[in-house]
Amino acid sequence: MITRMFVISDTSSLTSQTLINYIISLGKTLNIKDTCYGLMVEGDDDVIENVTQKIREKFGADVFSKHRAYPIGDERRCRATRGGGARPGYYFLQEEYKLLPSISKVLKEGKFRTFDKKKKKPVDVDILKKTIKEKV
Amino acid sequence: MIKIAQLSCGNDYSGIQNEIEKAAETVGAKIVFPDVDIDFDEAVEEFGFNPVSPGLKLMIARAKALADKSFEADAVLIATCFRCAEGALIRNELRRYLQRHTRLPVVMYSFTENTKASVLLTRMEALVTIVKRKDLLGRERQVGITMGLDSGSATTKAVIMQDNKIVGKYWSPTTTVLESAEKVVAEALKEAKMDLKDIESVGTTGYGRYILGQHYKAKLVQEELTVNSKGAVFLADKQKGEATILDIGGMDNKAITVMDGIPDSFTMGGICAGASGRFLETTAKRLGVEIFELGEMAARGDLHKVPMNSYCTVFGIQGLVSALAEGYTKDDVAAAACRSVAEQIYQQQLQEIDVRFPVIQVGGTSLLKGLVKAVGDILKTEPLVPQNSQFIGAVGGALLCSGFI
Amino acid sequence: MKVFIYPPNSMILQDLVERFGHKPLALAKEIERRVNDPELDSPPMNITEIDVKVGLKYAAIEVPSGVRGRLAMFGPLIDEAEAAIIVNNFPSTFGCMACARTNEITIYLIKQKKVPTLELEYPTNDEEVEDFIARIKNFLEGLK
Repeated sequence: MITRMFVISDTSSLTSQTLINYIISLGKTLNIKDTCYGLMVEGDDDVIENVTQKIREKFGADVFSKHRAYPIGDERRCRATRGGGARPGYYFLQEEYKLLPSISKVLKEGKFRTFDKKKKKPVDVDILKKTIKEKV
Repeated sequence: MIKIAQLSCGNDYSGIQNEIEKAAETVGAKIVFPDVDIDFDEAVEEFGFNPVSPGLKLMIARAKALADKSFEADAVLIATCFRCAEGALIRNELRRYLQRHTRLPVVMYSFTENTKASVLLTRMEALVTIVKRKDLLGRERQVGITMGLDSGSATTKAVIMQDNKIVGKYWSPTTTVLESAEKVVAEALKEAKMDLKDIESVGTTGYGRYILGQHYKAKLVQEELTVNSKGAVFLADKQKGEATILDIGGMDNKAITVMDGIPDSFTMGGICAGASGRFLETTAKRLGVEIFELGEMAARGDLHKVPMNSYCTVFGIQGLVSALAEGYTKDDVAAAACRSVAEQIYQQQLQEIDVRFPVIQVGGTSLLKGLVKAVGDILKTEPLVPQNSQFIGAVGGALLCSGFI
Repeated sequence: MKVFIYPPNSMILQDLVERFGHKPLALAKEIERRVNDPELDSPPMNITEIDVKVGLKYAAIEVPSGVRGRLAMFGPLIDEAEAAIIVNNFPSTFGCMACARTNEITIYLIKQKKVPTLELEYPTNDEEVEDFIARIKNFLEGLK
């Protein structure tokens, strides 16, 4: 039994209900929970991996996925039973969520360009000298 | 239900979170985690200390939520991994920050993977006492006629106070809890020229506190951490501000840091006899002198003259005996023994807390002048040894229970 | 190929490694194994005193317990790694990645393995995102 999170990119028009309907249409025995960012799906290992692949084929770069260590509603990590405060991993997920629209865009466009980045170097001492003379 | 806000780093991965929660539950409290927004760079910036570890940043943001009162809690537990420098710095600064910005009692702990609920229990119990009895702990003057009883594992002490002064006191080795108490109570009453019926309120502390509490119909039955702290700052006349209370016992040691007489961190030894009064007792026997005489000799001797290559009660003392054979004076050997104990306490225990000044040295061993000198030499301070320093628990009990008259 | 990802709990990295046809060595699966073990009860992670001692394989006894406990989880993943993607400057890496010292030693250990490794910076604008994905794609496609 494993759990996976399916996170819908913020710019996608896809709703979690559409995702749920699609998963149900696959006819597998699964436990599904609707969340603010998408879904959590729990089931046998191979079934979950197979469903993940199907979702990727169907919805492409609108949905992102990772494993979730804890079962759905696990009290050890649930905010309600833990006395307030999100589980630490939630902040991380929130941070990555912000980047999904731009990742989604690149994956959809299919253009994969690399750019040479210039490393920041300390300013040349002659330039510094010149600037000091001019400005000070 | 008392809510204890947990600010911590490393707890889940040291496998001790369950122990923390168990300890809280035992004393009728619940551990809670302040909810904070993800963008807490602002909180870190405002705090002014930017640690590299994100877990410590989260602790800062949570502390700010408590300071801003955007999250409600009754007390705070600050805990980080033992031996983490970054964690120790933040732990301590957060403690100060919370004490400046809130009235919440704070207790700190640095844990290892071996930390069990039992060692956390006294701290949690003290937190709960501080929350529930905040007004009582604020008491700085004793009123009426009251009696404090401290039933320790080694000795039992009784103190009778009247109008903020000690009028009767007595101590005796503990044989059975009740018999020893009856004896010291009778002697203390004799000194005070009073009868038991004159006593308006009784407070008990120490491990026999429940038995004595029932027997003497005590109005206050309280753990020794808060009671001893109160007694120590009262006797030393340091009721306001910061202090460290050091109690080197025959078997175990306590080092308590306090703010306005209320404890916020605490360490308790008990693994190594070389870091206890027992080392000095054994040395005294080998030198053929009484323990108090050893203290006087050590005060006369040079703390640094005799080289020691072991701190162990077995091997270290052997070394001291050899030093005598080499021609060192008994005074210098006694001083070396005191230095040895002081160094061990410093290395094994005091590193767990932040030593705050003044250092108030109490308990039976505070009467050993050489040991106080050795502690002062290491901590670069002159420890305060208040009068009646061996009676702090009983004095704390007598002072606090006068709040119930 | 089994690809170690750093941060090991990153959704983006796990997703991209899978999308480009490899197996990410994701931390969640390691934790999952622990938290679903009915034999243990040391919530929340079921890391036990013994686990923290297992961490001694990677770091000495004077290293804080939180570092050793984390290494007890990351270590086996590093041992399994056939390739690695390291992303530096990830913001808000809490939970498993909350300890800077653990993060430093983790990156060091993976570099010591001398497996093919891609090291990147966390992207902060659209151009960097494109570069980020392109480099990951090229790296993963080059692994055979």
